[in-house]
Amino acid sequence: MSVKHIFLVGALGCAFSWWRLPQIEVPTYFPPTVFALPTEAIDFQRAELGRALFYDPILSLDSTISCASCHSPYHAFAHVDHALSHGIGDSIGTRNAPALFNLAWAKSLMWDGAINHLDMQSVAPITHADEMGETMTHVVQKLKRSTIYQEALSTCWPNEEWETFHVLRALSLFQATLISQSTRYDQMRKGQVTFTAMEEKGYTVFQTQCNQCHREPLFTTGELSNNGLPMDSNLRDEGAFARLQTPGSKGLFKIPSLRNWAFTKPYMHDGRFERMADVLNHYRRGTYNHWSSNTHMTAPLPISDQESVELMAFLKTLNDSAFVFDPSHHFPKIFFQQAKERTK
Amino acid sequence: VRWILSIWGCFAACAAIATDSLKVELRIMHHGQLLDLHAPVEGLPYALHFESILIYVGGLHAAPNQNDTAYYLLGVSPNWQKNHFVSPLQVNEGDTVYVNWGVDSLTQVSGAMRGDLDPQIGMYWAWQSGYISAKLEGRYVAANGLEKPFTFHLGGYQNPCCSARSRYLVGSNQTITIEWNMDPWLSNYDLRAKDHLMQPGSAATQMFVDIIPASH
Repeated sequence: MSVKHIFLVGALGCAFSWWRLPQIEVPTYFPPTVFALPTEAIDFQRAELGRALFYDPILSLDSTISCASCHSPYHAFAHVDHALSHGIGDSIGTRNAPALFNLAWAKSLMWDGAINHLDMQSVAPITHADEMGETMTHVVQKLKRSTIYQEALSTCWPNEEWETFHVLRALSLFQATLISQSTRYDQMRKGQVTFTAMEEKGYTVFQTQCNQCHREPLFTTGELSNNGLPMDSNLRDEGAFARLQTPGSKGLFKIPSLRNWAFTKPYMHDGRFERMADVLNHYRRGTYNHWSSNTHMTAPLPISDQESVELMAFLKTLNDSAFVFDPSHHFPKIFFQQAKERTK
Repeated sequence: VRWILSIWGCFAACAAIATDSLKVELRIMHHGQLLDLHAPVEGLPYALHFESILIYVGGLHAAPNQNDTAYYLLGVSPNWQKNHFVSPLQVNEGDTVYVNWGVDSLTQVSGAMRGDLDPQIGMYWAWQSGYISAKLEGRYVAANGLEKPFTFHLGGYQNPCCSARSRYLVGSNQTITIEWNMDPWLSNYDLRAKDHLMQPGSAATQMFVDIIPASH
């Protein structure tokens, strides 16, 4: 081996020691994921492509609505202040746009748990008449006509033509990277902070009264459950019953995570509660003589006024500003700037 | 050397008998003849013609340990026309091949798929998250004399209504021809009573199981 070779190998070694793959660090106390998180460089590139698609109204029929229209990054990807989701042509859906994070742990998606895989979730809003009103065929055609997306595809999937697969996979990989794990609660779990006395008491109330459904550390079991609410007489939403048609499935909705609740109002599947205090009041005093045949949540939770205050103190430790304001999830300015320059 | 040559000869002979690939052909039949989608169906108390007849078949396996996990969409619709597929399975004359009618439950939860399982083909229950096992669509003349559409999206993907059913076929000279007889459905089901079924579940699964080709 010549001196030149030795230098070359040394230089490459140095370069590799400085160059690192983007990594997703998951806390050790999180359970195993359902959806495989990106690990390879190519997966992160695909997730970046998914990020561009997520913010691009090209996915909707009239190019007015993007995923981000109802899933705003500054609100933990929920639709703050909107009880029901919006779609093309001023159409309004029947359910509240859920917040998007920690989806790699989701066993099922949507309020009724109808979607069984993160890859396939995007088909539903893209093709629903009251959301994006598109067809997957037309979306693929539009992407094939776009120079910037053609180039992006050749980077992410070399020598391939746009197919539905690429749209779905890119979007799911991006959404899998939306991980909320930097709350005060997480800092406490990592030993970085100690809870105040009030937070500690609230944590105890939480573990006694709420943890069965909103199980830590994800603050959801990911299961369907009866939320004890009376049916909205206009929406007539029967939850999972429309899909399962079994008596026990009436009024079952997916248990949402309590993480980032301060960013995601209004609450519940139809956005009927504006404040978290209203949600707590419902569970403490609500009417549980429910139309659902599911026996869960048939009685108010025994939480006193004092415990309610303590619980709120704990719930405030579940908001993840670092996640919400993380620019790596936000609108990919550079991608769209390049696209704009190309069209000049 | 003689032994080695004999063993090699046996292997060579077996390899020669085994086919390189298997062609599976679906023939949609009515009254013993190929169904013509461009013509009205005859022999019914009301006028009817099909626009789409589609069915998923795949998940082939044959002894010893041969598997083709792919799924193929066979049939005819305005956007789709495929009456056969070629599987990489190597099958000898008389070998039994097992196929799934409808997409199996594992594939249903395996994420984004390509080819015949691309959701843009229209065989996906977008808000139900699963593949439609079979589609029967067309138009018929209702009791009031008006022409109406009929739409049957059959199958189910979730327990207890998983519609995928395994049936066996016997290999024959590189080709298996399956005759899918539509007579039982056409004669037993009265569209004038109900002309649509679009919800995955027990009814759609039962109808699917009733109409799929039998083992042969």
